[in-house]
Amino acid sequence: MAFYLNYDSPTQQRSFKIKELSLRQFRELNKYILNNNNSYIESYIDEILKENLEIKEDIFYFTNFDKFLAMFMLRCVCVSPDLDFLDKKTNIKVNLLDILNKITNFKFEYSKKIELLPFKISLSLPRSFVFYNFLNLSDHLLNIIEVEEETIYFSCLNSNDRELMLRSLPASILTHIEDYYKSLNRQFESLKITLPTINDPIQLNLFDSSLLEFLKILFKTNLSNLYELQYLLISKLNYSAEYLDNCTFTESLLILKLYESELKKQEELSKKNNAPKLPGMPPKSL
Amino acid sequence: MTNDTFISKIKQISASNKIDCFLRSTNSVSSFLPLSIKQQKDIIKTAMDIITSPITFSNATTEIINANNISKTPISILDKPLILLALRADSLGKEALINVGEERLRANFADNLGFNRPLDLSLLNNVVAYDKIEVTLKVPTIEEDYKVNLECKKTLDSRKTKDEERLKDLVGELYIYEVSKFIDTIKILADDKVEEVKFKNLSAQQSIETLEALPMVLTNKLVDSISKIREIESEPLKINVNGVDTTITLDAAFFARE
Repeated sequence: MAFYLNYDSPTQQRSFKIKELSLRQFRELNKYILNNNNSYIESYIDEILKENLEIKEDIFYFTNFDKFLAMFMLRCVCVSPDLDFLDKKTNIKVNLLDILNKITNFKFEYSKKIELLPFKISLSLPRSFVFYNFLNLSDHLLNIIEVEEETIYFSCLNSNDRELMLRSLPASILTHIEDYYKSLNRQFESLKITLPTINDPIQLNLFDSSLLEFLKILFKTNLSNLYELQYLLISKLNYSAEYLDNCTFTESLLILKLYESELKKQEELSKKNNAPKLPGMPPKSL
Repeated sequence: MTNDTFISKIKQISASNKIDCFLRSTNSVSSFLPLSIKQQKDIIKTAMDIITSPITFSNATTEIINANNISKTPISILDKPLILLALRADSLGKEALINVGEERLRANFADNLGFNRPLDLSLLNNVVAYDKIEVTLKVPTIEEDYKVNLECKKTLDSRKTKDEERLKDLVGELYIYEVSKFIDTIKILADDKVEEVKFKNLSAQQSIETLEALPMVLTNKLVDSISKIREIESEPLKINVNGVDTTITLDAAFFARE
């Protein structure tokens, strides 16, 4: 049985079981980040979440804020709870758990119900990170439509059915959608994250790509170090590539550190006893 | 419940929320369906087409009026302002930002919705003559206006000139297409014979070529008469905001929330 983490969604007021982020997923995500195509990065994040959720269909309930928090949590647990800013001049560690807590506890209007009789409309947060314009707000914020005891989950419809629905729904609903959008923007004005080495605080917002850009900062790593880590574990410790792909980055690093410490012990022992050394050298720090 | 059934249900509800509107051209009241979200988005989208926005706005709203016209009564361009005001009031309310000089001021246009002054038909039956040419004008239906706009847009879009050059050309092009909408017949009196051309029987290109061949004096007279019709068309849009008389501009901004 796979190991699951609990993602407590503030927006849905419920928990989702989610598998750890594998080394393979971390590596592939970094390739997408390196290519810097936001739409591909978002698609891959969706793929990760869908693959890792215990109930794959739960992905339909995930708003962009949920995707952001779930990925943030996976970063803290499966990669590291710290974000390092390392270069020749700086060596700063930022505790990500503090930031994750701040964002998780940030209270705002997760959803809104409006009554425009005979319609009852539920609005919710957008699903996608990638660029919004004013015209497609209704596609992203409309969640549930109820009319005369019948209910349609608009957010779960395909684009054709959405289009058909929008052709029929009265335009007066749009006014409420715009109000909700403006209200969310106002509420998010206070959600700013300060990181060292970045001059201005990062303003997070649901309707631009800031959540995705922040995830890119969190996940970006040196790809060649990842390959080096995997190479050493395969060549020196005979782990299979498949096994390592399914481990988390933290686990792989832990194995490497154990190996490093064993090497050290062996070295000290061999110095004492003049015994031959174990083959291989550890990689640079990751 | 399937999506189709749900959509049918929404359509039924929309149909029961019909909007009654006075048609000046027939001196009668006709019913229209309210704007849908998609239709409102289509209107707002027309603002993106900066140079030809008035044409795309006009055609988008004609398509909407046709789709929402329950009784399918033919609609004249003179009916269009009142219908658009009524659709706008239903979806976004009766208050809007109105251009008053250089400013945009909030105003309530509820009184405009009650406009029900019948048309003075004598003002519309115009015959303009010069030398041996006689032009009979008509008030186009929104359908006729739509077709000419389509041709006009096609011509303008086919130009691959720079924006500034295009703007200069555009004024001339729009002017001639605009005139063509209002022409019913052109008669030429020569040697006791009368030759008559019905504009509806000409292609768009032929209409434009015919108009371009008319003497400038006659064209100017035509433009004067058409301006009078346009003036009558905009009567329901006259509004007094904070003591200043102005006219509501029907465009994408009027259908967007500020």
